[in-house]
Amino acid sequence: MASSSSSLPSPSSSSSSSSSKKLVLRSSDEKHFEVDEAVALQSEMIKQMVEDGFGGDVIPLLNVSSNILSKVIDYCKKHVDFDSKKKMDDRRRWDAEYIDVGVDELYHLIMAANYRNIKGLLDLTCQKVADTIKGKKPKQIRIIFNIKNDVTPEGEQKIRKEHSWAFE
Amino acid sequence: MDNILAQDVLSNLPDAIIQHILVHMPIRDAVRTSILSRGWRYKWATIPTLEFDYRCIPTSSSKEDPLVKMEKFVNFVARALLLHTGPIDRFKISHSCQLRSCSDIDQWIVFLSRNGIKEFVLEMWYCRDQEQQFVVPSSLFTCQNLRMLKLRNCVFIPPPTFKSFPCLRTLWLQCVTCTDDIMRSLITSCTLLEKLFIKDIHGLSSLQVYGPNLKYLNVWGEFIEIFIQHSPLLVDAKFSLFYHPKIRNADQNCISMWPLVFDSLIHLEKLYLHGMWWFSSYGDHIPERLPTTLIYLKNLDLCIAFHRSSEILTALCLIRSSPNIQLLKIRSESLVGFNTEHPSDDMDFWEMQCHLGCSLNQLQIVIMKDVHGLVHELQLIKFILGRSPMLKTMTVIPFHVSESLKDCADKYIKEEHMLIELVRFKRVSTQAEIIYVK
Repeated sequence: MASSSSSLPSPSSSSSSSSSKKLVLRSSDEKHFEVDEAVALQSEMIKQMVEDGFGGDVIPLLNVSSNILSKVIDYCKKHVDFDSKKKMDDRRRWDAEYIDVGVDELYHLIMAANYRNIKGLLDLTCQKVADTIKGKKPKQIRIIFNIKNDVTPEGEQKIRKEHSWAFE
Repeated sequence: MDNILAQDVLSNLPDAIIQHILVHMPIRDAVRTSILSRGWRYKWATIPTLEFDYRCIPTSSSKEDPLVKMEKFVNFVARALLLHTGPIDRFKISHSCQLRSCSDIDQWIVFLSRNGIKEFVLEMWYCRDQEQQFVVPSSLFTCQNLRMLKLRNCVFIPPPTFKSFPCLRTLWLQCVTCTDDIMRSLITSCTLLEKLFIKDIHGLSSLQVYGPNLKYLNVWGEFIEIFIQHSPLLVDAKFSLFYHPKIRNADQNCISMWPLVFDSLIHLEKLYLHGMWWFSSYGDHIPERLPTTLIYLKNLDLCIAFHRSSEILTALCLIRSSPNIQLLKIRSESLVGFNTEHPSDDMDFWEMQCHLGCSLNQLQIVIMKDVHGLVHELQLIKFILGRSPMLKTMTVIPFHVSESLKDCADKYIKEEHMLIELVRFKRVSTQAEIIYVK
């Protein structure tokens, strides 16, 4: 899907639904992605840019690398598809498989979803982090997310006491 | 997720994203993040959404005395509110009805009201006795910024000084006790209302909806009358109507329910209807068509009790009055095990129906669910296949006979007969596929 050449892929080379309007996105590592407008418009940020008249140009996404961008595009494509079919079960199953990634990739997906303002993907990724934290002991959470414990034992005791209603 | 991060990127995410993560977990877990590191100590305390439910109390205390558990729950909510800083947009309490004896809720709502609360949800569970229902405190009616209100299992009686919730967009009431007048004036006064969900309201028998901005309506319960007026934006409506004891005694001369319900529904795009006998329960003659054609209706979803001819006639009336439907879903609600059919009479019935004109030029997808193979079900399929030139698929899902009844399955479903009939029916659409889903 990604082409590393600096020239744009010609519209005729696109695969499915070649009749619809295309937009070209450029990742931080200079790779170009041609996507259907409907897919790109899942991103509120891109929607805003198109409304402001940038739709004809290459849209640069300075903070998103090509491997993350391709994963984000997968999400948007699938969800354009889901929106037209309205099958909630399929959507849930697909989302669950999609989001079964390591914490590092998850972090980059959150940042991309936040930067490009894709509400569905932001909800999905944040839910995944929340589910990972849920029900775990602070020690386990610190290990998974590499959070440095800079609270002194006395300080920890104090916080526990203040929030005893949630720690019992 | 077994791998770990090389560096602590989570803690350095923008506050808005951390809030977003924290609101996606039970509040107990969110509060417990306060101990992760110094940076995390106060992160939970600014989340704009506070939802309190059974998960606030650890599962280990499940065997405790309900009153002790309730006290723990109340203490949890009070402490969380005390430590919280910043705006609270959404507040939700979901608890068993022991909470009705809790006087703290009133004070919490006063606090929220001052904070400009936008969404308020109060759900009480397991309340069998209506007299035991929680009475919504009067402080709720001072929340003038409410955009969403959801109440379950409580008594809703506004104080005399209450005028309206001027910003309310969504109202969701279930198992709530009120009166016809309270409901009417509430709906009428909240003029920005877009979504209205009403289910099982005690004390409500005449529903009057006036919704200049109403887009979605879902009504579930026992009613004597339903009036929908001045709701020009209403595009999606669901009705699940059940037997009201007074209907039987209703004056036979009372005005017909048909025009009252459907006259203001001309802009509907989606309609779900369960309990169609309701429309003919006043002894009304079922018209061939509605007085107004539902020209915008695209999705029609009906539950038909095929052993009642009044329901079939009502369904046909709706189908004839909706010339532009694209998707038609029908669930058969026939009484199983009772052979109420008189095949020759039934065929006469359909012969008459077929003489009345009807064309479904936009219809593309039909889904028939829980089909038993009864004459009326199959004749309706035949009726549709013969009038839908654009039909792509007719999906027939047979009634599922449970394992324990497998031995006498043929009493409930005439599968072989159904298949033989289905392949015989004429289809006016050249591309129509009949899909039989086992």
